[in-house]
Amino acid sequence: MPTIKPVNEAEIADFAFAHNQIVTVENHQIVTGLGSLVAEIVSDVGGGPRITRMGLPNRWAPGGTLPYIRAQLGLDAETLAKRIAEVAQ
Amino acid sequence: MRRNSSPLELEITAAKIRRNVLDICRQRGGYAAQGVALADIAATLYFDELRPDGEGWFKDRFVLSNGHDAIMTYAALAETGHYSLDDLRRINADGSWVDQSPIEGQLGFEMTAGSLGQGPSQSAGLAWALRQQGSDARVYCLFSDGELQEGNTWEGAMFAGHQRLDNLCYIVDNNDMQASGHAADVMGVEPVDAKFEAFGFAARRISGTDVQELMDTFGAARATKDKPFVMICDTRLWDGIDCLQKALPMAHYTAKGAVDWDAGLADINAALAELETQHER
Ligand SMILES: Cc1ncc(C[n+]2csc(CCOP(=O)(O)OP(=O)(O)O)c2C)c(N)n1
Ligand SMILES: [Mg+2]
Repeated sequence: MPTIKPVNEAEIADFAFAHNQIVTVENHQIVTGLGSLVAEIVSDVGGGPRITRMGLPNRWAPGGTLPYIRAQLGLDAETLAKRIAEVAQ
Repeated sequence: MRRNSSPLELEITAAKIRRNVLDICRQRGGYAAQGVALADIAATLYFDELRPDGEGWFKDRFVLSNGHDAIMTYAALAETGHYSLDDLRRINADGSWVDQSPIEGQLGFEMTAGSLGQGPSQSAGLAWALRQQGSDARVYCLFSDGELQEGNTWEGAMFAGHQRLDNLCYIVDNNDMQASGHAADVMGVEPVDAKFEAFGFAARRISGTDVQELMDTFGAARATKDKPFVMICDTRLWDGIDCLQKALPMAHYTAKGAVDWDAGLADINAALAELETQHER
């Protein structure tokens, strides 16, 4: 997703309603981000898949090395994979 | 003079703050040149101007807007005893509670200031709120010349002037340096004093590295009624440590391997010993 505005809403709606589980992952603040956009589009139609949003939580990040900060925010590969696997069950 | 500190005692404290800056920054690099240049301001603020609240902190508020220069505050708070040097030496290490660019809630920091240009307006709001509450606490906000290039700074200044916030004192670190070069070349900020005067401030230009002059200027700020006050400090990076000046002009961030930290520390320790001898006499 290069941008969340402008965005092809029809394409997202088609994709979302073809699945019953959607996971959005973004390296941005989760509030009003990609996941929020998908949730808005889906709610405008009504019904639809369960949406799980992953991204920067709504709090300050600590200082440190990039791998450390990613792990603290749950954005390291291991945590992402674990959460997606949980959702997929 | 507010807390009966002598200029010589403050100079000694400033030298110790410089020593702490180098001691901390030598571990993994940092904004050492700024920390050194701001040491006299830090010593005067924390050891003379800010009134203790009797509960281990200060009644007056100090807002650091140029968050990357937090090293100044940390190095000073090592002298007040609020931080240990051992903790500070782990600055920005994984798992350390000391962040290089602190977020609100970190001891000594009123606001999250990593994103520059927000302190002048937030501290004006703070000063206004304190006045509304009938508090006599004063608000001091340090910010950089780079932040003078941001619009929000002038919104804050306009508000402070309009509200006649005489409990507010801006301290501008006018070091003519920003990340990409001299402010004069990137986007000139002068005349800083006349600009603030036009916004309703009483302004004074000082070196920012002379504790007597700093004490006098803080006194003038307190004596100013019906207007906010701004002291424009024409500091220079690495001020007072000759052997490190060769890192100039690009001393915005001093990498671990960029300077001879031992030589710098030797310089500071010699200056400190000299001051301490004078003090004993
Ligand atoms: C809004 C914003 N833009 C860019 C940066 C990146 N940055 C960090 S320090 C700095 C400039 C430093 O110059 P100055 O503000 O004058 O501070 P000095 O280093 O002289 O203390 C910049 C651009 C930032 N922290 N915040
Ligand atoms: Mg500067």
